Amino acid sequence: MPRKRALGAATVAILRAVQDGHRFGLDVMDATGLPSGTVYPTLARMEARSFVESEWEADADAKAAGRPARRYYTVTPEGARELSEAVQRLAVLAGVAPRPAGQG
Amino acid sequence: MQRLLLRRWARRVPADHRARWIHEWEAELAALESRTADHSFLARTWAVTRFTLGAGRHAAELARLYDSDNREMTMMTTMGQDLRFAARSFARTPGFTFVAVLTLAMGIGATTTMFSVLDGVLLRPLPYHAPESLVMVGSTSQRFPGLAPVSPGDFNDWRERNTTFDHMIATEWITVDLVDGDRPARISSAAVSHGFFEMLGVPPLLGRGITPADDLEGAPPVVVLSYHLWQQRYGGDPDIVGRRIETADRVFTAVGVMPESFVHPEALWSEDVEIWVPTSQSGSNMTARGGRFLQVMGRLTPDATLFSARQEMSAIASALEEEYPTNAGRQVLIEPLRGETIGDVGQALVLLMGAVAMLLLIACVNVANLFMARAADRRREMAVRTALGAADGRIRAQLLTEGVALSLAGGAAGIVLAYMGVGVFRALNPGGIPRIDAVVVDARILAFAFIVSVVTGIAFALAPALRAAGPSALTALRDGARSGTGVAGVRFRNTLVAAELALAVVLLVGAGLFVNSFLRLQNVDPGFDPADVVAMSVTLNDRYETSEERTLFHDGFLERVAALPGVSATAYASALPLAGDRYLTALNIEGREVDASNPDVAEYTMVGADYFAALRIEIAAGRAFTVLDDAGAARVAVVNEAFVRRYWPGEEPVGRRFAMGRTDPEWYTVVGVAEDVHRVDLTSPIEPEIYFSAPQWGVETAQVVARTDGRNGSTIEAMRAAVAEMDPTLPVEFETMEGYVSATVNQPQFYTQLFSVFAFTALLLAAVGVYGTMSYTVGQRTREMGIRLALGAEASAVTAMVVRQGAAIAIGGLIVGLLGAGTLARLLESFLFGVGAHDPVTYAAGALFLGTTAMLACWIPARRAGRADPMGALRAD
Repeated sequence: MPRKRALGAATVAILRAVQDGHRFGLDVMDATGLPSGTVYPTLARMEARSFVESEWEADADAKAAGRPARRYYTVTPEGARELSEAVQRLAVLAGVAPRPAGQG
Repeated sequence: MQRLLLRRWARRVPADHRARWIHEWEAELAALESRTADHSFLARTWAVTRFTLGAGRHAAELARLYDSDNREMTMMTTMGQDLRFAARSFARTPGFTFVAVLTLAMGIGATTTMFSVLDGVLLRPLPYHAPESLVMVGSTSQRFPGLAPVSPGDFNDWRERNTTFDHMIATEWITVDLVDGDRPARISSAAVSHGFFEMLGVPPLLGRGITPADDLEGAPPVVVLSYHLWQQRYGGDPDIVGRRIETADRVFTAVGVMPESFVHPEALWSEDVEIWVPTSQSGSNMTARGGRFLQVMGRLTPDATLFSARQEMSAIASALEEEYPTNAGRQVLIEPLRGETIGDVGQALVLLMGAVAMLLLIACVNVANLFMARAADRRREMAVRTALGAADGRIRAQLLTEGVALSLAGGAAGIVLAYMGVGVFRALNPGGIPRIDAVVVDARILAFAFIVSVVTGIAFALAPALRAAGPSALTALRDGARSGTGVAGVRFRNTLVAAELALAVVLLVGAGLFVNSFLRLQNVDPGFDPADVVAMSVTLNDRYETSEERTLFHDGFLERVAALPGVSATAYASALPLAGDRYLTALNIEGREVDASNPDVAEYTMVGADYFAALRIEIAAGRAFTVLDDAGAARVAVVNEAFVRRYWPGEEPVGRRFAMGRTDPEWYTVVGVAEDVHRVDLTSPIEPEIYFSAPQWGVETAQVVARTDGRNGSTIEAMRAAVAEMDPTLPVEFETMEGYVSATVNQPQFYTQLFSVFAFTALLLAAVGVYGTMSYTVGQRTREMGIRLALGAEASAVTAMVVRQGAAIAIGGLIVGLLGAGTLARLLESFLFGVGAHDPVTYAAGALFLGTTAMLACWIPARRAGRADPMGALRAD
């Protein structure tokens, strides 16, 4: 079982995007600007911690659009709670944290 | 492509997630592809590839989450993280990264270059079928030890009587003067007995090789051409087989062309052969027992060994000794072809490889030192990571990853250097390095460079890695803001610098010995004055039938040359010193006992009257030749001092007589003694030599020497024009006597240059090492220096203190280095001339040179220490 850890900034962004209705990986990438190598592993991690769930797109819809069925993610209530905690924490940090080196 | 990657990664995904994982990625890829459908092909491929790379990490993450046993995946991910981290940390310290990569590139580049040469020359198999069973067979005797040439009579008997060889063949160097086409050309060629190409296992590209029928006396003349000659001179004519090939004295028929890759075995270490003719066309008597001029090669039967072949051939040679008195004391020597082609050069290359390996070691030590300094600076970082729960192993792995990444970068740059290095090596080839054309940078070499890089990276990162982690790492946090270096760390780094200096001393002394020996070589007096002397060779063909006609041509030509402006003396000679030609004769010296198994011999040359004047060879006693010593006069000779020393020691040579061989009735009277001249090279002892007056012999093939007033170029052109005026079909070749002299020192010069470059690089790297360590130490101790100065210490005393510490390191390194050099110098002995391997002056000079450099390198940081601002230093931190 993965140990409990606070959510990082990338994770927060991804959960946010899913919550905002970007339901599958490619959409999440577009919304967050994060690379596929971050988005998919994070979604896998969040699913393992039950912060998101996934389901397959209905076959009929997929056939109608002429494409393979997509995997849609949704944020669980537990995930939503964790997300809002993390957002608050990040806001506090944003006030005090020094700017990252090399960007100032 | 992307689908292929997906399938590969799918295997890593835990089984109960696999189907879903594949499905998801296919759907996502499909979505991406439809979205990018209107992009250019390149943009689309790039986007899809980049996107797909995430699938690998997704698979890895799933494996980590659901399959904790999957170690491989965990390792792959952590290694990726380490690499990314390393890249970031190198980017933050560009100065360090640049110096480290450059140092490694020099070390790895030099090592890879030398290995390419070693590999091409020594390690690759010879370009023949089953080369291990090919051997050289030579005649040997007490007087001519080693693989001496073989007489045709011996060769015929050997070939007939042996049972241990599948093939035994003979070759002879000849030159063929082609006159077809617009320009006559002299082509270096070989006469070979039948079975030559079959023995080497290389079939002709077109036509056939040399058959037994071609070998018979009176057979129609045929030639086999090299690919190069076929292309260059005959334009790759597809109907070349059957075409007439015209030389000055006969018309050959081309019967075959060898493939482009074929190299004549002896051409592996000498100039290339472009034409092969049967031995029946060489003009040599192929049944004689007197002259020994054939190179014999053979292929052993599959059952035979070198030992059994030697046994059998030795029995045959003993039988021949019984049968023919001229074979008294003649034995047979058999050596593998491989060893014979490589010879001394192999030893030299191994030596250079050793030197270059030392250079790499120095580079390693330098980077290790840089790494140690960097590790000391990063102790806080490591301590923080340890405190936050990073495992020791993880931190070590991180440092090792950094080391290997750095050295792979160095290796990549090194390969670029090696490409250039091999080009330079081939361009500088002094001649005599066999198979230099086989030297290339290819997959083998790249593999070598890769392995060297990885090993190098681990080697220099290991020590810092072992020191970085462990319980003591945490003390760095307690030290407060000061990122200190422990006493043990300082001592270790000082040891590294001392080791580096020791290696540099070894290389410096080695280079010193080479330079010393080379200077002595250059100061050897060849016995003649090569400056401003032009040498030309011209070969008369069969149109000049009689000896009189040939002499007439040469006399007429000499007259023209003598009349040229600026030419002060000119003469012909049958062979020139240091030009490679030698002729030996047995002697019957009046009043000396004849020993059949150990006859008196001397080299001989036929020279024109002005020869001694043209080359400025001093006459020590008696007189030189004059125009009066012609065919009608009494037979005369001039001998050299070595002749007098061996055959008439302490006696008056002028007026004494000798004959050539035991049967020649003609007696020659010595009229003068010439000073010794080096004929073979500048280092071999000078053998007895006889000069005959050319007009008394008739001039057959001749070299013409002309002393000019310094305008060699215009004289050469005038001489070429003079020949063309007399007979435009004759090929001529020019060289200067200085060219012949410098050709004999080309190889030593080449080794000296290479070794010096290595030693200089080592010196530079060692200096950088000393400077880096000392200035780092001084930087660390600024506070201490400040306190000393504040308490009233003189700036000079502080400087002296730092210099003293540097000197202690340097002296330690020098002592170890001198001892090491003394031990290793024995390997150089066979390359040295006129200087011992333990020449004290060279050792002292090497030590002094390096010591001075090391002192200079620590004086700069020491001066900085003396100028430390006391108040600033105290306030720091």
